[in-house]
Amino acid sequence: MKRHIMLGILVGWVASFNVAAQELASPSGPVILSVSGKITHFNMGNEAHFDREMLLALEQRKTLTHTPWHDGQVRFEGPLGRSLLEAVGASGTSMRVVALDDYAATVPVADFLDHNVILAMSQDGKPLKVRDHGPLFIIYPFDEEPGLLNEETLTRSVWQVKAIEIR
Amino acid sequence: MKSSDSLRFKLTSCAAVVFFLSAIIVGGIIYYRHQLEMVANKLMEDVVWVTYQFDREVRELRMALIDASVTDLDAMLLRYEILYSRTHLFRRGQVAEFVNTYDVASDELREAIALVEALDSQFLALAGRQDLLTTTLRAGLAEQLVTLQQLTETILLECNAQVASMKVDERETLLLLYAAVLVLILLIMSTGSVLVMALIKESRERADKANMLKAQSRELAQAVANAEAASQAKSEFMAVMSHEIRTPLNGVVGVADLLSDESMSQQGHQYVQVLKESASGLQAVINDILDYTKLEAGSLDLDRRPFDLKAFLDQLCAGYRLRSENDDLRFHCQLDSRLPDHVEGDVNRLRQVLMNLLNNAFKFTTEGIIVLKVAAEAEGGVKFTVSDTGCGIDASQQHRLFEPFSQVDTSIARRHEGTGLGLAICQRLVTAMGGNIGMESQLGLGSRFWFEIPLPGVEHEVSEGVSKITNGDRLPPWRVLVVEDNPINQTLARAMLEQLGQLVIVAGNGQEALETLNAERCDVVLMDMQMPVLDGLETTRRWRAQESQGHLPIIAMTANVMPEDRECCFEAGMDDIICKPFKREDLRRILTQYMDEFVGDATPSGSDRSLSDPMPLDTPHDKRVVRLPEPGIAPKSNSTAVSLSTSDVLDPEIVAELQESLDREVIEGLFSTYLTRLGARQANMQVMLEQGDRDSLRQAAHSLKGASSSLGCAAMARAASSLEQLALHDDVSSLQRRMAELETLKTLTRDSLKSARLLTS
Repeated sequence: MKRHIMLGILVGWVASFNVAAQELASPSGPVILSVSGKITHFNMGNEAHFDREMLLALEQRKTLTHTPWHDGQVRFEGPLGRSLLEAVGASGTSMRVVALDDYAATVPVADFLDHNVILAMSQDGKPLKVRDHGPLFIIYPFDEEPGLLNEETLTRSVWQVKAIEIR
Repeated sequence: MKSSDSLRFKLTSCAAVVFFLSAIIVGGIIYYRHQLEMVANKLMEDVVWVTYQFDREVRELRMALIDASVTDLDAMLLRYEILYSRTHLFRRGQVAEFVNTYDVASDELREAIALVEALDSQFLALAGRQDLLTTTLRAGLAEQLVTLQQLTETILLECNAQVASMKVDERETLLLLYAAVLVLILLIMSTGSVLVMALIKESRERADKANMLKAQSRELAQAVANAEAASQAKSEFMAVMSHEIRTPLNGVVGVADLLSDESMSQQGHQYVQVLKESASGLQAVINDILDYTKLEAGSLDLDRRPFDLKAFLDQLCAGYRLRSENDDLRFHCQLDSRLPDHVEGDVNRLRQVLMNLLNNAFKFTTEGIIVLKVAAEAEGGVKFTVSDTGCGIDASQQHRLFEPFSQVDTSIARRHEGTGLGLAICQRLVTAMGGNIGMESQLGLGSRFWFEIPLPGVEHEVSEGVSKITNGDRLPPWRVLVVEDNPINQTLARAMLEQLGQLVIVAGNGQEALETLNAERCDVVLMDMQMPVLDGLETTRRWRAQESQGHLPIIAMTANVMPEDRECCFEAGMDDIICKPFKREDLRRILTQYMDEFVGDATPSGSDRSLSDPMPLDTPHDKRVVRLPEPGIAPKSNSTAVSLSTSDVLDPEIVAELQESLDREVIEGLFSTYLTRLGARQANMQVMLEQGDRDSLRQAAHSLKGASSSLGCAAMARAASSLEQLALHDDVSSLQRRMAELETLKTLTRDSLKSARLLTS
């Protein structure tokens, strides 16, 4: 167990080194997420734009959980929030998350660092479309950490995410 | 009144507790409802939010449709996609559940969803094909969207109305609960105030009660103080009265003493004897009362001095030996050879205790023997034991013996005079001397009183209280000055002293005494305390101040026996005290003390030795006392006495012990008395048997058993024991046989005694 943790740290360190060493790649497909604000890696002006491929290249996670908006347990998959933060070299304390319908919520950076929050791209193996609250849906691991199921966290669970501003 | 108060108190307490619990429960319910409401509120907000968003999205799509010609077609399609996503929220999750549960605008919702789905194919067909968006299509879409808008508006309004009504309901319930809590709090407060009132009332009552108790205890303390004062006054009265009685009694005793030496008729001698006995009885009673009063007052002072223990005991025993000079009663004194010659202790108190015990023994023993045994114990202790074969004391009475004013029973009190203070005084004296006292007794067999006190041995010292001049010796003629104002007492003292062979000079007061002492030589002075002109203390002080050659012994004559009076005498320079009333013997004893110094180390006369115990004392001391029989000696066998040897009939050990410790004549006397009484016992028992008085028979057998075993007549003791055991139950013929057996044993015992040379006739 300890060894796995050590290994994880090592991998994480090497990965961050690699990311830091390389310039952020440019999106080849349609841009689905743009990150702005206090970041160090850009690929479009002072913003970082991501297409589906780039997001799939980040560290992925599967989260099995119930939500107030679905029936039964649902399996979500997508990049870890903190891997996204690493990828853009974020240095702020909070994020302004904006949805396609211009709904916006403020999420503390700490939420992404302390919990395994993902930007879900698929649900039960099927890619999330806009009509399914896609393309990106911030999913907290409610079943793993029942303490997260509160009003505050629920307002932070933004769906149809299109942009994040690091503050 | 009191019980209804307490009932009310209990009811109020119960009510308070019930109200309190109810308040807590209602509070809990309110809290729980609040929690529920928080969740419900969130849900209701969500519902309103989602329906609002749905409605808004329809509006957005309509706007996009209008703009679609000029702007991007994709934006309109995205809007549609978003609108589509809104319908999901009504189809699953919490919002869907809410809508289904409360059946809110379900028809409109179903229609709206169906409409959105119907639009789906039309919008999907437009993807990337702006050319298809004709004016007619646009108008058609717009028309459908208007219909949808109407539905969503209705949905929004109905949801909002539903949520509002639920919130009102919830608020009303909560208000009701708050009202209940308020009422409960009011009830708690009212019961609480009732309780507080009750507590205040109770504490006031308690304080009243405490005050009352305090007052009562003060009264009690006062009563105790009064009682103590009364008791004190009584003691003082007794002391004063005793003292007042002593002074005239001095005259009575003295005159009786003198009268008995006068020649007079037989009748006259008898009268004088009665007078003497009555007077000394009265004197004894007064002495007891004074002693006890002093002991109770705690003013007992011990006067520890070295004295010759053996000489003291010899003197003491000599008197009792004379008293026992008749056939039925013998007195023996046994001294342990290990006793130290000289010991330190209060010889007068020791004499008092011993005389008390011995006098008791003589009082209650008409025949048999009385033995005083003195044995050295560990660590300087000396144990004195007085055993008698008297009437004995019942076990149930024994514990009362040492209490004041208790004689064993009233019948004994009638037969024997006494205050009943003797043993109480003995006990207190022995305790004061640092020892302890005890007794064992068996009814009908005898008693044994003992006490043990520390009498540490000392190196040879000038003996006091014990004289080298013994009773038989004549005193050397000394010049004795008697200082006394009372003419009767003058005569008395002169007569007594002259009979003791002394030369007497009399002075009427202290002044005369000093003149006499200056004029002629005197050897000793007897000084009264209270006199006109110059009292005894002052006279002594003046003489001591002017005394030029040698120390003149001055002895106080006083009826004041309290320690502080003694102290005054010694402080004034007196040497000794003789208590009034005194007898010739008392005078003799005190004079001898001072004459001894002149007799010095002269060899004691032969008669002195003859007074001490003639028996050798080298055997262990505990074997020298006739053992009290142990209760219930079991018979060794039931065989008849036909073939018994001497050693079976007599217990050789006890016989040897008797021979060791008693004179031959004494032993013979004991056995002949025993055999004589045995005949009488048998006759009595025979009568009892014939009359069927079996209980008396059993007691008689028990008594015979005790008497026989203490004299070592073992066979007789065994027979008596079995008779005792069988007396109540065996048949008459069997008992008759046993009685006959006793007769045989009597003969056998007599023969054995004769052959053992314990009996001559």
